Amino acid sequence: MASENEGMANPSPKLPPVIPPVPPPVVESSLPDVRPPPLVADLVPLAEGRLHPFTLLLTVGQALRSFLIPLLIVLFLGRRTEGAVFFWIALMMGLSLTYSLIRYFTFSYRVTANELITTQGLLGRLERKIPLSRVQDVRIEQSLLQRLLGVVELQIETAGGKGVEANLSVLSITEADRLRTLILAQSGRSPENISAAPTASNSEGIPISQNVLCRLTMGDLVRAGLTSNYMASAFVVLLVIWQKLDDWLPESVYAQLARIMEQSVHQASNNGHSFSWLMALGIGLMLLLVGLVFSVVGSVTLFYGFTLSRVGEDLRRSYGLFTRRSSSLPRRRIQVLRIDEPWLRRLLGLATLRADTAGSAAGDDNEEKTGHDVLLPIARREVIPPLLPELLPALSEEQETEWRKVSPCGIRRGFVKGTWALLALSAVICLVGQSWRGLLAMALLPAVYYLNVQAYLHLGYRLGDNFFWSRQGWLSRKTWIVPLRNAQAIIVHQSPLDRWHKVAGIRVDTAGQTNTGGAPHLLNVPAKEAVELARLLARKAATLRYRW
Amino acid sequence: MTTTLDHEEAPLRRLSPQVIRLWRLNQALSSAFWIGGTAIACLVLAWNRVIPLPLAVLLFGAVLTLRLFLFFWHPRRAYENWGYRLDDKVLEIHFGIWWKTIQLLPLSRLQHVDLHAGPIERAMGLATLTLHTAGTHDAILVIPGLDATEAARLRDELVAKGGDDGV
Repeated sequence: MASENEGMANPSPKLPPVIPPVPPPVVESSLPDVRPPPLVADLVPLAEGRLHPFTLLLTVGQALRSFLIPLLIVLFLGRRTEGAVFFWIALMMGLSLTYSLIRYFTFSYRVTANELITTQGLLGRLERKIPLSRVQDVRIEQSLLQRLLGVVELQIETAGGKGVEANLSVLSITEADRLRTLILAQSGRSPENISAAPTASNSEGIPISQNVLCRLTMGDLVRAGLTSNYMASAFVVLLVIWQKLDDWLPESVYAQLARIMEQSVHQASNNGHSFSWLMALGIGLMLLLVGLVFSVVGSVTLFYGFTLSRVGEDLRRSYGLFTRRSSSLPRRRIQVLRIDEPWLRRLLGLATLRADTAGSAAGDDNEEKTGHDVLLPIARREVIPPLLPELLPALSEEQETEWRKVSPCGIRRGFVKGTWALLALSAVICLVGQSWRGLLAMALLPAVYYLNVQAYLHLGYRLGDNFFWSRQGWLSRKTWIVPLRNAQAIIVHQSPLDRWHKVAGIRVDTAGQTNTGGAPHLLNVPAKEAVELARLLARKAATLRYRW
Repeated sequence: MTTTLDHEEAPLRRLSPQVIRLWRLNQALSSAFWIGGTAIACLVLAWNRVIPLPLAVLLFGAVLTLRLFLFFWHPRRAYENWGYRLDDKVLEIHFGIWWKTIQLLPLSRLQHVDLHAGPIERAMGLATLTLHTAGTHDAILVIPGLDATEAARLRDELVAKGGDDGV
């Protein structure tokens, strides 16, 4: 296995070498065409096999690990009931092991021209057939332990159901890669993809596809960590640690701390400083610093060596310091693309790219932990526009169209809403504080107005031949790109207040919305324009072919 | 937005007027429950002097007015605001009295169509059409209160027009 001598310092992806995808028969190529002729031969397996024998080792390890804690508890606590509990634990472990053994020995898979078929079960047999044309995402994951053993996990995602539809755990690296190449080549067997070029791999077998689109450096990852929202989770971790420490630390430590504090307060007051402010500031800064360290560490371990490349028609992401992940997403599966610029990143000129497929698991909060929710975790803003045609090829043929603004009545409506909120705030402060000072809150009115003007200026949409664009946000900005061939329905709605202002809201519904939130809700579009826009969108969508 | 949509002028097709009766019947059933329930609750509360009698009368009056309003006024207005329009590529559904909505469905996105009629609907010769897309928020579009034969015809037309774009 490649990673054994390379160690973890090498940012190049440790995942298996790329075997050139099977070229479609129309393309003249020196590579062997392993695809059988259609019809009867569609049933002949192109690949078949069983899981790697290390599966056994790993499942035994897993069983041991999950029973380790109960065992330890019994060892430390139990005296009288020891024998019985040992018996039960041994029984459970035996059952779990037997189950794993049966699963391993009965599990087999095969890939035919159109389907991936997995079979398992001794008494009740389960055979699952996944049509290759429905495959949304092929992932290869490799935990630290699996890396030591030189095996990987292959996960197949389709549009149906939640999460992963087929999990081949574990396979040898070469087998996993062979399957991935085969599945992706077969799944993309439509006329549009015939030009998909096979990829080259260099002598060392490290995948160098023809198009590395983006590679993140250590600096990028540190920047990503510093500007990410891991901060909140880091604080939570700290809080938990402190709570744990609180139980362990003897009272004397607190007494000691109190004495030190008292002394410094004394000193500080002698110097004429306000001590409590300093202390609070110091603690705040410390927390911030530790939080930042946590986020940077989190970002680096998750996205270490991130490479986004295009292998034929598939977008491949490989990343991870300990657990290496690789995900191959056929680019025609992208339903919505979103460019995110949260305020901190926007200030620094950075952006994040998110994409949704119809297979994006709804409600799967693992997406964030595994990094599957972002297509590109971080990049300089100017890197993104040239990258877009690589992700959505039709963008390169798109005519440049102007951004259109919605009705400026949005400023007034936003301002009125803000005024009411401020009035309520003032009233609360006046009542609670029993003074007129609450009215000072009204001094924020100009700021509210300014914010609404900026929000109006940065809100807009753009309709091209094949794409619907929209963007919103001044401090934090989001830009959505919806390929019209993926628009499922267009909704125009109008509240009584909207009708008063002669405006309406418009929404484009798409199949995948987990990571991007779907297309945005454009409010305050002049009513006539909204209906016309919706009709135009619907007609365009109807004439473009939908692709899962 | 210079494109003129020639189909724009086509009038909306209406639901079957029978649907007003259906909705009235539904309202009558739930109104009976609500009005009866409120009457009993108000009586019990006023009898036990939990709330003063005028308040109980006011409460009952409010519920009664609301239910009468929903029974007499709402079904007709809802019917007047429902409509749909089908051309060769797009189905448009309009509804809403105060909060108005227009749903536009590109026919090639249609995944499947359900035709449903409950016992009361069937007795009145009505049916409900439910359209499914692969979308998320607006994956299910509904046209209620269609004449049963018209609903079947519309379903066949939708399936025929949407059928060419298999996924």
